[in-house]
Formats: sequence, structure tokens, C-alpha cells
Amino acid sequence: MNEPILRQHAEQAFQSELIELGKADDRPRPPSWKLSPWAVATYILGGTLPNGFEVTPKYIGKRTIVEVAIATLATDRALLLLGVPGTAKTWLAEHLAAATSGDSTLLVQGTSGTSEETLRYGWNYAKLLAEGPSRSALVPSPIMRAMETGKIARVEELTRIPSDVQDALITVLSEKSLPIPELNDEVQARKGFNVIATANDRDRGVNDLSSALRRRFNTVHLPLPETFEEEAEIVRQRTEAIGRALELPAEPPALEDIKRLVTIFRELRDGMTLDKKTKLKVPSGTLSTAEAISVLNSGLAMAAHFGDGKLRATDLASALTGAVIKDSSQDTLAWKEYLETVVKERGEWKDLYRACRELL
Amino acid sequence: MSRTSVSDSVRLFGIRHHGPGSARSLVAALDEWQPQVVLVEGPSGSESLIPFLLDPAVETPVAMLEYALETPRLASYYPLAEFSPELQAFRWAAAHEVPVTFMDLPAATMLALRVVGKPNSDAMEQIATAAGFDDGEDWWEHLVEHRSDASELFAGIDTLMCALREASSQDATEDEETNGDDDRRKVTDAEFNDLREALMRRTIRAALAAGYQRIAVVCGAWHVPALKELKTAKPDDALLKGLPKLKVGSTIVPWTYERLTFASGYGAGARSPAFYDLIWKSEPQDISANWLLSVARLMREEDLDASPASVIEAVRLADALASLRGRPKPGLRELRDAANSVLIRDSVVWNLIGKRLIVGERMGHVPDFVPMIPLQANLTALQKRLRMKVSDGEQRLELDLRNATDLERSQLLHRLALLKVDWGIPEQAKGKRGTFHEHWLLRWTPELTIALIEASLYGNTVESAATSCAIANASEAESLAEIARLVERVLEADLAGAIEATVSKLQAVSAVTADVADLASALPPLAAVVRYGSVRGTRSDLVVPVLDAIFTRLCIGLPPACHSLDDAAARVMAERISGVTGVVALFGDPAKTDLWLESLRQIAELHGIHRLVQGKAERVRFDLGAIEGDQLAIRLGQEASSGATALETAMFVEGLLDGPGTILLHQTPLLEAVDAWVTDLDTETVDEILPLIRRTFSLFTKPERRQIGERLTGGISVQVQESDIDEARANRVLPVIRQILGLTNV
Repeated sequence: MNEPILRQHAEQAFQSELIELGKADDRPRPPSWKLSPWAVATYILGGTLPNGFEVTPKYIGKRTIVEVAIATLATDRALLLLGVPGTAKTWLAEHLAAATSGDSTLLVQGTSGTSEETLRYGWNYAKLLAEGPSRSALVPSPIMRAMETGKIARVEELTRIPSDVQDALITVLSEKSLPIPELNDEVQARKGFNVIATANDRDRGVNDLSSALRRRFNTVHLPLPETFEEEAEIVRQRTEAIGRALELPAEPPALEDIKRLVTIFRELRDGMTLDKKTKLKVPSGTLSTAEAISVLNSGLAMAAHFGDGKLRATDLASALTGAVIKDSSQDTLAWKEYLETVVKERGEWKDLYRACRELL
Repeated sequence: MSRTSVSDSVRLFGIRHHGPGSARSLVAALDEWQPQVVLVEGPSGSESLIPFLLDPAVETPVAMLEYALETPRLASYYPLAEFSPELQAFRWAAAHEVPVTFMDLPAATMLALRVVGKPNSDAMEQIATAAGFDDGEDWWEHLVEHRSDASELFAGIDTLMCALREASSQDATEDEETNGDDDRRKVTDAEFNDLREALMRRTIRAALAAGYQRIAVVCGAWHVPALKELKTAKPDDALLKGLPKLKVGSTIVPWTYERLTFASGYGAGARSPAFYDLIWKSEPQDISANWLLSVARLMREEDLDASPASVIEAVRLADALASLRGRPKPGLRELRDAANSVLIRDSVVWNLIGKRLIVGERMGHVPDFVPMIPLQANLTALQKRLRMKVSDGEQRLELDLRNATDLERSQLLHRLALLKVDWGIPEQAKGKRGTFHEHWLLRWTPELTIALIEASLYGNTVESAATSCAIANASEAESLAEIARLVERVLEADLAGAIEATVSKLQAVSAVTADVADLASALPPLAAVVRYGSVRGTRSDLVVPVLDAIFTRLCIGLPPACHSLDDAAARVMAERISGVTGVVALFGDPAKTDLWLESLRQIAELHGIHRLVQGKAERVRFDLGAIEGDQLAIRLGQEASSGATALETAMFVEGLLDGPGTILLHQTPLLEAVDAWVTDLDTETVDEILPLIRRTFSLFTKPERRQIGERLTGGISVQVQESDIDEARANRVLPVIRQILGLTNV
């Protein structure tokens, strides 16, 4: 059963941590929770257990944010994680679900084509025709399964779901039950059930939440990393972890490379150099931390498969250019300007400047 | 309740100043023990203020104020809010007819000492941080303020403080900062603290000697450990011998919640008075709900959604957060996080919440019968008579000086300003720049009371104090500008008694002032006095002869003063010329205008004067109608050809064109002359002076620049060839044009 899996679920990847936390955790647990809220916070934010076991931090950022999120789940109010793309919304949601209910797989991906069946239930039509409406012909949605088992369901990109479909969640969240009129039946949620939704506020207005639905969520805003050091740490940790998962033979990137990349991302995002001396054009893309991570990763892959196994500027350049230039000529202009006025001037960045120039 | 003292007759209640939890526990403990006397950490000898503090007409927050009679800026305050344990101790004592005695150093001594070095509170911060709290206040709040069980609490505080004092006893810091004109006795913070505690112990001994059986001691928690050992009186007596003393006065002044916070620089403050107020007023179990409800109500006032259901959810979230963080009850931090997640979607609201629900806008009130210094009483009476409300919020006041009451109000504000009691700040009103209107921004802060007490050295009514203050200022003033401004202020404040003294000083100073800069800067305030004096009904006639003299001296002195100026000085001089020109316009006196023009002519024609100043002079002469536009053009032509460097000419042009750009549009010869000069420059010179030219033109408005550009490129001056005109068609328009021009009969 040890098939190579591309990406493990949170509860698989960090199984040992969850087990150790469970052992050390003697605080009261809300019904159906695998861990106490305190232990969940430790799992997310990292820490050392009394027996010396190290729990790695999953989310690097403000403690308050995580605490509010966990407390929300404990009050049976649904949790809405808001933020620009790449601020670890999904990442945090997955780990929260894994730590509280030990299962992060009850997931509905919101798209503009998401239908009510995906949120409620569908039918196995062969059975429906053969046996008529019955519970066995019913295909439950992840949300319905979460209700039946008292677990956390996740809804990704809630605001991409059409408004009328979104509102199907209202009954689920306020009555904690899902009626099945066809069978004159209903599913009542067991204790421990809750919903974590993520939405991205860059696309606000796509399908903004109705205030009735919004009222049923506690909102937690995930900010972009506050400090340079925080962001560099996130990128370093994630790149190493992903590199391990993908079994990339390349050496892990030096801290210098990470710092360089984070600098570029921050400067372009803020429209200003870190020393606040030069103003810059801001490209249209988000340039989130998540993107910095993926640039590094593809750089690592390039180095491993086409280079000498060591991350060089040329390996980074193509992914970097792709991340900055998202559409229009406007981005190209901003990038060129940045290369000429900032990158070129920094002595030790010569290699990167040359590599990027070649691609333009 | 466990004993926290060596003697059975004495119990120590360590409190936190402005701690609502401390106040609650203290009242409960006093009820339980029924002491016969209450000793409170307050300036000994000032007990006479207590009955006033407890009067029902007094609205908290207020402060006991002690000030040195001879140097009132030496003052100390003891602010009290309703939730201050000290005030509750007074109330309890009054209700049970038990005497209260203060046991801290008397104000007379406290003000005579100068404390150097930092107060020692770091130990508390360190422990708080180690315990995972934001800071010491947060920690204390959770440890003490939120507890409702009075018993055991004070014993716990005692133990805690003993440990804290031990921890911090080593790191007594001393930093040497000497303040030149302060000859008070210098003590370090540690010495100061020792003195205070010595007196506290002595007071307790005295109470014991007086035969009281149950003595309650209410003091800052920090002092508790030091008050337990009462056996030997000798060292304390030695320490307290021969302390310096000043003569002091004391009163009660209104205070504000804002002043109670750390932010306004008061040491023993509370960060969130409005929240503490709520803690004090609510039953412990209702605190979360009440605070979140006020948030919701505030949001509704601002037209934002906040339903009762959301408040319920926020309360639950706050509870959950508190238990997650291992705290018995939600504190302000949990409530804020909960409100942020459930209720608030707009961070702008936070400013309001901070202002109203965390800090609070409450201002205390002290009724008239509380002993006040005469000046203060006089001001209160004036405020009442003129119906001017005293508030710590900003309010705008628009005064119409033709109205008698408004005129008096304006005089009062000006008089206070002279006394440096800046209750009102004059504002430049937009739009209405009428001479009859004054705009003020009023805001009363507790510091103003101190300023007022300081001002009381000058007199016992606002008018007499302002008068003697003005006379004192006049005798100290040295520069003409200073004294001219003072004359203006005296007239604005209508201080009849000070006018003569200030004007004679003005005369004396102006007679010996030869400096053009001083003369020029004295002009605008004096001209304003003369011009607008009638509006105020002031005696500006006294000023007229002095003003005339100053003006004449200025006109004579100015041309020589324009010699040998560098670029920066020339710019200042050009501005001065503009300023004086404005004053001349204010006079509207042809004789003065002629005098001024003569002075300018000299400047324009003399050799060796900076070109910028000359250009400016020519321009002013043109503006005043002394010369024509083509003369300017000729002058520019001369400048450009007279062997002056291009840079000098550019300076001249800068001076000349300083002002509205329409001059170039209406004076075609001048435009042509400028154009010709620029076109004749060779490339190198252009490079050299381009920045100057650019700056000159950048001062014009955009439409002006555009029109000038159009003129120069010939965009609008269309040359019409006669042969192209179709006369028959042209004739058809003529009747309409005649009509427009009113020439129908021609």
C-alpha cells in the first residue's frame, strides 16, 4: 500500500506530530475534536512538547489570527479565511481541518460551475431508476459527509461559486441540518461539524457573499507576511519541504538566494525598494509568498534536471520572469525598469541581471 | 481574609491606581474588616480636599492639583476616576464616618525635590512577558483586575510584590541629566521612593500610637512589602529630617479620560479608561456583553450593520478565545479580536472604538464652590457670562466682531493667548476673509489649568493678568518685529492699560532700529492694527505716527540695503518687497505709495544691486502703474545687452516675472522681449540657465503656461489674407455683431 503519492494530506504528512500532540494533550476537547484547541494552536504555530518533541510551525505569522480561527471553530460558527492569493488560506484551512477532525479531505472546490448538488447531495441515477429514491441511491457531498461524521468540511474559493448556489449553505450553517425533501428526510449535523471557507479578496465582487451568509461566518483576514525575515523563513521552509516531497536531487537553495527572491517580490509588490529610496512600477500580478515558493521550486527543478544540481541565477530567471510578467506590456515595462534601475545597480546581483536580461 | 501585616491592627491593601478590580476588591475588604481609620497614599496635609471630591456635584474624572505658589509650573496631580480605589476608599470612609489620613510626602516637599533616574517598573514587564502577556498592564489586569474574590487577593499581591521588589532591587539605574536653572534638591528615584515609604511607615506608627485597633492602609501594590516592618522608627525619622519645603496651593481640577492614559505622558496611567469604567459599572459576568454591545451600537450610529445575533456570536468567540489562551475571562484583547472577526469589516471603525470605547471622551466637572485661585474663578465667571462651553473635544467658533458678545469672546481668547493659556487657536477661515470675522478652534485640556495657575502670578482677573503680562513682555522685547506683534496682540485683546506701555516701547525700539529686515517685518502687524482697528473699537490711533515713521525709514533704508546680496539674501529681499507692497496696498494712501515707488525706482536703477531684486522692483512698479509694459520690455532688452552674464539676466527675468503670468499675455512687447532674449542665447548658455528659466515659468498656472506657449508658436494669431474674404458673406454677420456690441444705430 506504499504507492508513491505526489502530495500527502496534512494528516498523513504530519501524522507523527498529531499522534505526539494527542498524547501530550490533557486539556478538554470539544465534542468530536481529535485535539484540544490549545493543542491545535500548537500544531499550527509550532512549539516544543513537554517530552521534548518538536512540532514544526505550519503557519508563520500572527498568533492572534490562528487563535481566533481555532476559537471560531470551537464556537460552531463557520470560519471564513480571507486574503489575497497566496497568503496560505488553503494551507491553513487544510491544517486546521487535519488537526481538529483528523481529516482534511472533505473538500468542495468552488468554481463558477459549482452546482447545488456539489454542496448538498446528488443521485446515483442508475440506482435511482432501478430502486426509486432511497438513501442508498443518494450521493452525499463532502459537506453532507462531514455533517454525518461530525468533521470539518472545507469550501475553497467560496466567492467563485454563483450566489444562488452559495446560499444553499445558509441552512446548513444556521440550522445545522440538510433537508432531503425527496425522501422527506434530513441529515442533522453531529457535534464537531463545521465549515472552513476560503475566499480571495482580490476578486471581490465576483460573487460577493450575501449578508445573510456572511453573517454566519467569522472572518479572519490573512495578511501578507509582515516582515522580510518572516517571509524569507516561510519561503525557505516550504521550498525545502516541497523539494523533499518531489525528491529533487538539487541542493536546497542557499539562504542568500531566498533573500534575494523575497526582496524582489516585496519590492515589486510595495512599489518601492526596501531602503525606501526608489519608487517602482507595480506589476499586475499578486506576487505573493506562495508564488515566491513556486519560483524557487521550479528553479530547483531546473537545476536538478538541466543544470549541475546547484541553483543558479539562470535556473531562477525564467520562472521569475513568468511570475512577474502576468499579462500586458505594462508588466514587461515594470520588470525592465526594475532590472535596469535596481537589479543592475546591486553589485552581487550581476548574474541574475544577465540571466533575466537574456530572456526579455 | 489572611493577614498581610506584622501587626494585628494594621492591614495593607496593595492596589493598582485606576484599577477597577482593585477598587471592587478594596470595597469588599473594607466592608468585611470595618477599619477605624483609613490611610491612603496621597499628599499628606491635603485631606481637606476630600469633602470636595465627594460632593455629588463633582463629576469624575478629576484631579487633586498641588502647585508651588511661587513657581506654579512645579505642580503635581493626583487624578481620580470613579473606578480609582483611592476614591472608593474615600467614599467608604465618608459613609462609615471614619477618618482618612494621607501618608505620602506632602506636596510642599514633593515639589521641592527633583527626582532623577528612571522609575523602577521593569521587573513587572519582564515577568509579564515571560508569562506570555503583552505587557505588565495586560498581565496585572488578568491576574488582579478581573478577579472577583476579595479574600486572599491582597495576600497574593503582597507575596507577588515582595518577589518583584527583590528581583529589581539590584538594577537601580541612575542617569545624570542636569537642568541648568533648577536648584531643587536632587534625589534618585530609589531615594525618593525610600523617603515616601519612610513617611508612610511613620504615619502608620502614628495611627497605632493614637490607639486605633483596625487600621486600613491603601497604597500602590509596589509599596506593600516596605510597610510591613514597623519596629524601628529611628532610621525613618532620620531620613525625614530637614526635608526642603515650598509654599504650595491646592485645588481640584477637571480631568479627562484621555489624560488618564499612558499616551499622554502621565506615569501611573491606565491604557483603557473607558473599558475600566465599564468594568467598574458592570457586573463581572456582563462585561463582555456590555462592551461588545456598545461596539454594536457605535457601529449602528455610523450606519454599519451590527445585529444582536452578531453580538451574541462575538461574546461566544471571546469566551472561546479566553479559554484557548488559558484565561479565566475575556479581557480587552479577546474582546477586540472577537469584535474584529465577527462584527467589524471596516478598519475605520477601530479609530472610533479606540477613542470612545477604549480610551473614552469623558471629561470631569468641578463646581464653582470648590476653592479656586482667583484668576480661575474669574475665568469661570467670564466663560459663564459669555456662554462659552468648556469641553475637551475640538469645537469651532465663528465670531462676528460687530456683535458685542462675540467681540468680548474674541478679546477673552486673545487675552488668554497672551497669558499662554491656549484655549483657542485662531484659524485662517477659507472663503470668508472678511475683517469682521474671526475663526477659532477651541479645546480645553487639563494642562491649561496649570498654565492658568502660572498666569495667576500676573494678576487675579484675566484682564489685569493679561495687562501686566503684556507690559512685562514689552519691557523684555528687543526686536522691533517682536514688539510690533505684541502691540497687535494687545490691541486685539483690548488691553487699554497696556497700550501706552507697549506703544512707547515700540517708539523707543523703532527709533534705534536701522535694520531693514526688522523694520519690514514690523510693518504687517502694525498695518493690520491701523487698518482693522476700527472694527474692534480699539485705540489704534496711537500706533499711526509710529507706523508712519517706520514706513518712511524703511523706504529710505531699503535701496542701500539691497547692495551686495547673495542669491539667497536676494530672494528674501524680493519677498520682503512683496510684503511691503501688500502693506502699501492696505494703506491706500497716495503719499505712501509715491514714497514706496521712489524707493523702488532707486532700487531698479542703482548699480550693483542684485538682478533678482531689480527685476522684482520693476515688476512692482509696473503693478502699481508707475511704468508701462513696453518700458519693461526696453528694460529687459537693456539688461540682456548690457554685458551682464546670461545668468544675471535670468535672475532679472525671474524677479520680473514673479507673479501672475498674465503679464506676458497682455504685454506683447514684454513677451517678445523675453522671447527674443531666450532665442538669442547660444546652446551652452541655455544649458546653464535652463533650470532658472524653468523655475520662473513653473510658478505660472497651467492655463497661463499653455496660452503663453500658444502665443509663441503663433497658434492663435492667425494672419488673414484680405483677398480670401468673401465680402457678401461677411456682411451678413455684421448686424448681429452690431447688436452684440450695442452699435445698432451706427
